[in-house]
Amino acid sequence: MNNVIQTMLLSSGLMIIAGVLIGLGLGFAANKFKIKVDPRKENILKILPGSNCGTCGFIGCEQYASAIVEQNVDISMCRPGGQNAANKIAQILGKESKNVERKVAQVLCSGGVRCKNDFVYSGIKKCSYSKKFFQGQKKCKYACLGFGDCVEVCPFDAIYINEYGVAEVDFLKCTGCGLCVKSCPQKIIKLVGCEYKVHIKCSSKDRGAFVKQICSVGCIGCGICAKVCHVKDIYLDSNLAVMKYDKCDNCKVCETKCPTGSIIFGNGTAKDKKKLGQTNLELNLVK
Amino acid sequence: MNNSSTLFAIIVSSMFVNNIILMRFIGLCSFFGVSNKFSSAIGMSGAVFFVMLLATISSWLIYYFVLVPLNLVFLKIIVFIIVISSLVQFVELFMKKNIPGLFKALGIFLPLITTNCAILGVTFLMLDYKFNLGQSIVYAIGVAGGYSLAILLFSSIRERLEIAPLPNAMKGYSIVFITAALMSLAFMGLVGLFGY
Repeated sequence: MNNVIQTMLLSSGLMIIAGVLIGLGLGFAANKFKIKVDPRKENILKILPGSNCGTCGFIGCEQYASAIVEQNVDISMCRPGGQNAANKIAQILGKESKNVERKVAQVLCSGGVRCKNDFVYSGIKKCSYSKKFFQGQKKCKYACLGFGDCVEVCPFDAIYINEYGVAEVDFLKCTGCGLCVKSCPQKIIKLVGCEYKVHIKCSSKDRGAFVKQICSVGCIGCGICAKVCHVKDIYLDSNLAVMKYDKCDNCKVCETKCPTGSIIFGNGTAKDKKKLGQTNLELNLVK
Repeated sequence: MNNSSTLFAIIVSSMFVNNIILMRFIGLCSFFGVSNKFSSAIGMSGAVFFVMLLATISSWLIYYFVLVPLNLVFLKIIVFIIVISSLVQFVELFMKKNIPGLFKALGIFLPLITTNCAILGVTFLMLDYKFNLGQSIVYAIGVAGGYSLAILLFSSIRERLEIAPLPNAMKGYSIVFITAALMSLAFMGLVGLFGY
C-alpha cells in the first residue's frame, strides 16, 4: 500500500515539475526570441493584393513589402494594386506617389470554332500539351487552343473561355499581372495599356489565301487598315497587321474597313462579318 | 555490440527492410498529406530528420536518466509527448530569431511533424531494441532516411498521376492509396534481410 502511494506521489510530482519547468522555459524563450516586425511592413502587406503573382519581380507580396521597407525599392511596381496601392504605400512611407500605368491582358485571336481543326486531339486537355503535339490541334498554328491554361493560372478569375472557344479577358477584373502571358504556349496574349480600345484580334503570319481557307475571322494581311489609319499606328509584319499601341485614338475607322472583321472595338471577340448566321450552326456541329 | 557492422545493419534495416511508412505503416497521415508536391516533400523530409534526431536524443536521456531511476517507466508515453513537443516548440522559436533561412525552409512543416506517430514510434522502438545512445541516433537517422526515401519517391509518382488520364472512380485519393500499397508490396521483397 505504501509503495502505491509513493509511486502516485512521485509520478504526479514529476509531471507537475516537468509542466512548470517546460511552461516557464517556453514562456521565457518566447520573450527572449521575440522578433520585432516593422509595423510599416505589415501595413503595406495589408494594402498589397496578396495574390503573390510575382509581377513586381519578387516571390510574393510579403517579400515585396519587406523590400520596400528595408531596401527602399520602387513603390510603383505592383501592377495588380495599381495607382491606388501606390498612393497608399506612399502615404505610409511619407513619400511622393508615382504614376502607375494600368495595363490589361489582350488575347490576340478570335478563331476558336471558326478556325478549322487540323486533327482530332484527345490528349490531356491543356494548351501546353496540345502545343507539343504537332503545334496544336488547330489548322492555324498561331491560334488560341482554347483549353484554358491562362484561365487556370489567373489569380483574379479574369479570363474565361467564351462561346467561340477562345480565351477572353474580363477588363474590369484584369490587373495586368502578366501571368497569362507567360502561360500561353502560343504567345498570343499581350499586355496593352487600358486606354487603347481597338484591337487586331489575330496573330496569324500565314499567307492571306491560306488564312481565308482555314479561318473566317483571321487577318489576311490586305493592309487596308494600315492605309486608312490616320495616326499610322498599324503596320504590316509578314502578312499580319499589327497594332503599335502607341498613338491610336480609338477612331474605329479600321474596324469598319476590315474585310474579315478581325479588328474590333472594345471587349469581346470578332464577329463574323460575312457569315453571321453560320457561327451558331458551326457551334452546334462542334458540340 | 557497438561495432560498425551493427550500425550498418541498423541503418539498412531501418531505411529499407523495416521502412517506417511502407513496412510498419506509421506516420501515414503526413505521408499522404504533404506528398502532392516534390518541393514540399523535400521540406517535410528535412523537418522529419531534424525532429526525429531531436526527439530520439531527448527521450533516450529522459528515459534512462529520469524514468528508470525513479521507477516510473509507465509514464513514458505522456512524458515523451510533452518533452518532444515542447522541445520542438523551443527550437522553432530559437530558429525564427537566429536562423531565419532554415526557418523559412522547415518552419511550416515543424508543427505538422511535432508529435507525429512516426516520431513517437521511433522513440518506443529504440527502447524495445534496447539501443544505447549512439545506436539510437543512428537508428533515428536511418528511420528518417527511410521516411524521406518513401515520401520523395511517392511525391514524384503523384506529380505524374496528377496529369494521367484516370477513370473517374480512381481520381484523387483512391489512386494514391493504391499506389502506396504497390510501393509497400515492392518493399516487402526485402523482408528478412536484417533483424532491426
